[in-house]
Amino acid sequence: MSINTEATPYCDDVIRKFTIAAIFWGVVGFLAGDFIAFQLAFPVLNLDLEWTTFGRLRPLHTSAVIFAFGGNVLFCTSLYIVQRTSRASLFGGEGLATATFWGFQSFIVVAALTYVLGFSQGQEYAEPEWWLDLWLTVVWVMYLIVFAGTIMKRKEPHIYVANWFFFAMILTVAMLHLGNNIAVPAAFFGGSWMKSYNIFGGVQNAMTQWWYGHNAVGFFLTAGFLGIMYYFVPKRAERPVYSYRLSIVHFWALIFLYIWAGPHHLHYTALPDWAQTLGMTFSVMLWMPSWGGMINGLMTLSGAWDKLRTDPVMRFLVSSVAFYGMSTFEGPMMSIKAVNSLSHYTDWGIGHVHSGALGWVAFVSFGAIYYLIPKLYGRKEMYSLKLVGTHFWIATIGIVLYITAMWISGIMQGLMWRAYDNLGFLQYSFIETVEAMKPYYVIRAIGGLLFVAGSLVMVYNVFKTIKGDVADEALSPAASGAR
Amino acid sequence: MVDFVDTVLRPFWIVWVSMIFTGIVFYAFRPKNKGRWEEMGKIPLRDDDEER
Repeated sequence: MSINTEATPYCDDVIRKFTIAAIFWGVVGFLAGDFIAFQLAFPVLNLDLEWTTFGRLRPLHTSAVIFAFGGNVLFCTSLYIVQRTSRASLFGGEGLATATFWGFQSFIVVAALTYVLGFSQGQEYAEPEWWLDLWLTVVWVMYLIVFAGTIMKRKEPHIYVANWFFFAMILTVAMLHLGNNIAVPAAFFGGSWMKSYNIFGGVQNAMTQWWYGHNAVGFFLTAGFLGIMYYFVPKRAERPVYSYRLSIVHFWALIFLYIWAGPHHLHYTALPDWAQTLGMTFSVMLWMPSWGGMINGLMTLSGAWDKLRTDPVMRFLVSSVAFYGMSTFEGPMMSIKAVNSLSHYTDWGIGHVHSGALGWVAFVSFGAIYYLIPKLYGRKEMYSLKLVGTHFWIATIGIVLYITAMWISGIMQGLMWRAYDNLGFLQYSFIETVEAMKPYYVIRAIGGLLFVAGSLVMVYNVFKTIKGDVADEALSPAASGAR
Repeated sequence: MVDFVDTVLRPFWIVWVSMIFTGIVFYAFRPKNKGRWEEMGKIPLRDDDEER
């Protein structure tokens, strides 16, 4: 159902599928996260059932938000952008991309089921067992073929910078996935087909895991979503990116530095000191692409700052860049060993992750979704921009509650763990620190609830837009001007 | 060749990686290239989405 007339006939059916899937998995993932947040405050919610314990639902939450929500957002935006900026339709047409879609969705469902049933490789963010890893590899290679194939048949001579970021994401994630999942099924040694063991043991395993884990953040959640920023911020602001030259430097700085930052997850462990220091140094250098990206995103608005007031979609996109700047300032700071000795293993880490995940990744995704939905369904604009604004404020208050609660409780937790009395004994038992954190756990869960509520406002708004309704307020002139 | 990798490239990686990066920065910010880059920044605004 292409609405284009003489323009390149883009494959948008599959983009619509990915977009809807992203919204669906987003809500599922946010709900799962908020449920386990309440579990931490009220352990009775573990329900005394093995399938609903925190230990099994936590990977369900992380995988749902990172891979199911984030993954589908990356699929829909990258395949949308690569077609427009290459002025070519998808390589392999709707067919290959649709096969990728169903391959990916079924992977998500089966992976979630295995977590709940207690199967896990025990590698953080790489929990799926070996046979699911192979399944995902096939899907990812199909994605690579669709994306690279489209770039190869492009009519635009230059490859726009957003595509560089997506391409780097696809290639690096492939490398990380294969590198961290070299596992041997236990069946070869008389065990089960459902259980495998990583080829690396001990500190080698830890290092490989955090090389994977941190670059999942660096390439999946940062590079990929920067690709989104570099297309949708200029599109929505109706002006080119502030400095294309800066975007080139931003890209290469990120590529050169990120891959070395993993060891900062292993400060003060059995990992050799030089590797820890290397990880710290490269993490601190990451301030460079962090500021490059933030300046480029924000300054694109220069001369059009009024859009921040009139266009709530722009507000999502711009706030996401501000959160990107903030959390990528916080991250290198936390990677400094002296700071890390206080922050590591505490809830400060969780707060940091969520300022990046909710503020940056989710907000830029919401901005992209609010841009895409009217485009993909041939509407002028979302059903109600006012509701987009409502979503923005509910979600922002939720994030602020979440991260401030985790800052306070995390730093308190770290200080309590290292407190000595005058005889040199630890001042607090572990359970005392848990008790002290309870109020903050409740505040965090309420923040999460607001974030979920905001996403439900989005679902309603998207549903009405697809249906073709237009809210009364949208007829006012302030709400026009969207492209 | 393997010898060269082992004795030069591996120990001095920070030098040549930095050189490549500096080269990229130079290439990107060279005044001669400015117009070309600015033109490329306009690609998203030139796509034929507006015909809808």
